[in-house]
Amino acid sequence: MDNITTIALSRLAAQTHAMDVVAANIANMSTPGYRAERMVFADWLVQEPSGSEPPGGGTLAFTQTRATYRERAEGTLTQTGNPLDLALSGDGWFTVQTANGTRLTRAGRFTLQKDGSITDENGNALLDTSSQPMKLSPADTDLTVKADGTLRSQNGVIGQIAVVVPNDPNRITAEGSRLFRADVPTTPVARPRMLQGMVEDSNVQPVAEIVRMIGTERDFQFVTQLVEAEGQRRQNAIDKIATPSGG
Amino acid sequence: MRSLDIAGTGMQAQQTNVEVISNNIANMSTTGYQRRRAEFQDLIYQNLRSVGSNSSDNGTVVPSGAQIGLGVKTAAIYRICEQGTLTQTGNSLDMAIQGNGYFQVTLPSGETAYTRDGTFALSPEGEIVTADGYPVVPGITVPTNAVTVTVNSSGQVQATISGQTTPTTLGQLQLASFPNQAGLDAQGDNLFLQSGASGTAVTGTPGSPGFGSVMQGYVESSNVNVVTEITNLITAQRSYEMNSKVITSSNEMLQTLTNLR
Repeated sequence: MDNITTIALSRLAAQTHAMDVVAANIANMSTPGYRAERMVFADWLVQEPSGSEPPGGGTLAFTQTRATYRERAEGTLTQTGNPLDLALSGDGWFTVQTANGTRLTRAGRFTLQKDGSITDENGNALLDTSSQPMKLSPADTDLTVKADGTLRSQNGVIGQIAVVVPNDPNRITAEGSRLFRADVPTTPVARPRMLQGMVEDSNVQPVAEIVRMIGTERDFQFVTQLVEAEGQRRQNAIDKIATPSGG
Repeated sequence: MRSLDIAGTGMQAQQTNVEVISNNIANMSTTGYQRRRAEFQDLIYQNLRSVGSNSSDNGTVVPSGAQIGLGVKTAAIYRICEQGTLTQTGNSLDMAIQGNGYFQVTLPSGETAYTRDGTFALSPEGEIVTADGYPVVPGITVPTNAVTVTVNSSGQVQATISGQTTPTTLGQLQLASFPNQAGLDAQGDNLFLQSGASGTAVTGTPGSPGFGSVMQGYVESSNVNVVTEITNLITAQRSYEMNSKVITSSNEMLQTLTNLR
């Protein structure tokens, strides 16, 4: 059995994934609404096939990539001065309509289209509380957004922007372009806090990521040394066995 | 090692960020310039373990999958249409728009361009033109014997002709507004063209609902805030460095593997 090397190998593979996650977080340091990703590892227990149990138990624990989850801390809010830049303080997500259905986003960077609809950077329409796209008439110029998401112009109320939370906050899948898919039904937030003219930055904490990166790299080197030591031990054993006794 | 490529996309994004910031700083004193902001998006994700997939035959599901993001991309560089500060110049043909709207200008090609730069002058024929000599729409000609030219807040241009006591009305300035002014196509020289994203121009009298008013003797300075730009520059540079550190670190991990035997 080549257990030591394969267990070490599972660790090396896991550390490579951990490094990928750190790299993705650092690369998205300036992405509005980005949520830092964390990786969870778990042990993968394998029962030794041999009948007699060696000291320390008969199971081997491999590392496996168990899951990734998103940090739910709030990112810092930056003032932009654009009336359709909206930031959410506290829990909640904006909903947008995409070709594949409704998606969630924290990046409240919205723009006006020529037909008066309010969309994100990719043209996905922002939805109101009744899941309909928000639309302005050409006469609406002076836009204000209240904390509860009510959008109004000088001509009156246009609609209320929906803010929802998935029933299980972990059951969301990132799809890129700042969009998340909710895998469980969502419920509206009772008292949303929306801020106009602000954008929520990513919640990546550079210091934490760099520390994690150094830790990951050192861990990787440490396990590599283990593999090397194990290789030498085996080489040593082969040399000794191969030496004829008394020769 | 995906982390090498991921950090590469991060460095490219920050490079774009620095370019946008440097353009803002370079145009700090450009009349009517509106600052730009680079916008980033996360790239697609690779699913190592799909969320919601069954983890046992009894129907238990994985509560959160393992996803690895593949980096970052530049989504847009958008223009922030905030009002710039108005600076008094004392020149009677300098006009600033306080509020929404653009002056209309005819380009030599015959197209109509839009600008917020109201540093106007007179052509040899007495027509009101931009600093590049493009006539303002609707065309207004100031007679050579005019003593003073006044423009009121609703864009009416009047002149006092020498020897006359009552001012003569020369014309009426019109402003253009767009459903999505951030979607205008920037041409340089402070000029914008209508685009598919901006929608069609709606013209109106300055001061009417939805349009800003005209202020004579003022120009609109750029809305670049130097302090913000410098702090953004520092953040962008540090972020660039951190991405490069990820590359170094990933490289060292590969190096360790190479040395393994």
